[in-house]
Amino acid sequence: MKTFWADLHVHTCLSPCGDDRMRPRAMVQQAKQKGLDLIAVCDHNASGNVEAVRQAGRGEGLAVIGGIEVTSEEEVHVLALFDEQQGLRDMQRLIDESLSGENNPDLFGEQLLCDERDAIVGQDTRLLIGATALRVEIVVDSIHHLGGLAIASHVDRESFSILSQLGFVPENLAIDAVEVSPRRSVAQVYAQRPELKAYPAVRSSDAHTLEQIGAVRTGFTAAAPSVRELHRALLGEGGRAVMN
Amino acid sequence: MILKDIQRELDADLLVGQDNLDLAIEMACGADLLSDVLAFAKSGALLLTGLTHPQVVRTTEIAEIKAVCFVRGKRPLPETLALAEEMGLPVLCTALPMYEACGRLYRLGLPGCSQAGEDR
Amino acid sequence: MNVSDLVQRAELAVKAGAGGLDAEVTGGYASDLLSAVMANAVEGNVWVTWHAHPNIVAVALLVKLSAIILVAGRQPEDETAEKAEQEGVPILVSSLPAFELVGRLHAMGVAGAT
Repeated sequence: MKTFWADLHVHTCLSPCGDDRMRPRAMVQQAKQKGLDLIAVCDHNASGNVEAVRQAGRGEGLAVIGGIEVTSEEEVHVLALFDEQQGLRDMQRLIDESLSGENNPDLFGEQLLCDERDAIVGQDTRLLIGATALRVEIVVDSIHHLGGLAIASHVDRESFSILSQLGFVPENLAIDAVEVSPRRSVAQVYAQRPELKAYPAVRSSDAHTLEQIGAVRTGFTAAAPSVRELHRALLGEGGRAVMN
Repeated sequence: MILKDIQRELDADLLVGQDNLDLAIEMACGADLLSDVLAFAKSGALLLTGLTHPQVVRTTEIAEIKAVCFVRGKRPLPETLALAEEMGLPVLCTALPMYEACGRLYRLGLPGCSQAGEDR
Repeated sequence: MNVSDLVQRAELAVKAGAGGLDAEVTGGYASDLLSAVMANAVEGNVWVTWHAHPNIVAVALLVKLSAIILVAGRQPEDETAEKAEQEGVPILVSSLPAFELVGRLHAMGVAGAT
């Protein structure tokens, strides 16, 4: 068992709001400088840069989890994290089937696809800022069905969080954890909304620029830097634990 | 104003509450963010919303909302309707967008939550 | 009617994008779901919303909205105001909740889609 320091929510230049410099090598270097062992790449409704970041991380000893920040019909953001490439692909397919519209790069920002050496290899033309037609329970259940972990994004933010959109966490919503943004501590959020204590919490940067990577982090003690082990740490299984 | 007046003004379908057409409605609020409803809506209001999630109905219970009108032709999910029926919450459904629905009801004399009623 | 007429008559505070105050107002749209605004609002509409997030400016530009009105005294985030100022998208603030603000605008003749 070992303690892994993780930033479980970083965007790349594929997100329309992600900085142009958020490219695989640069991100990996920044993460290593910040002392992270693990990052999860979660672009808005997209996963096209996951493999490039993973490959860039491989040479540097940085574990990279593949994820997507899914926008539900209610405009709730949910992180979907997967160990298996197949799970991520299937989740992406589900999103693609229920997301419409085309991006306008001048207004929303470019959606750049990169290789592991930071070269641009294409653009994603879909309206990634848009909402899927999937209600939030379907998003969460699909993530679980495909073997992933579902974390409610930035629950303390007043836009696009489960609390802003739906007032409180629906009782049948099976999220695995809540994410707290850098602007609050987990203790503050738990104190403000005691009902959230029913869920384990992680604290992530939601980085859109290089400087933001690792601004806050979550440590977990487990056997490996994987989604499965993170899940067990969130549940406190077999001596595993999460630290914020 | 009673529920029936609102139904007529918005040319709305009454999905739940046939027995409640005479229900007095004293004010209204319009929101798609349920956090906003919990923070600002007052007891006894009509809620106009474009969200169709069952959480809308659960929120009305906490905020003591008297009736809900789904706008812009959004049909509530079956689960949402079932919950509303169970709770006896009248449900309307109009093809009008939020803006036009609010505008018409205000013009008809229905006040908003900052103008009328008691604090919860 | 243009945006400055609305500012005066509905007692709105101009927070950014004063360069766009001459734009003609074609009607109103109220929603807190960005996807609904992108899909349904039309050019020249004023958009009534609770959102203060920077993305509202991009949405306004996409749809070519004449102005954004924040309700219940909400203040635009700094980045939102900066972007709106650059692009000349008026960000106006009303102290009223959405229902009452829309009611007043509607009574002034700013209609919604039917």
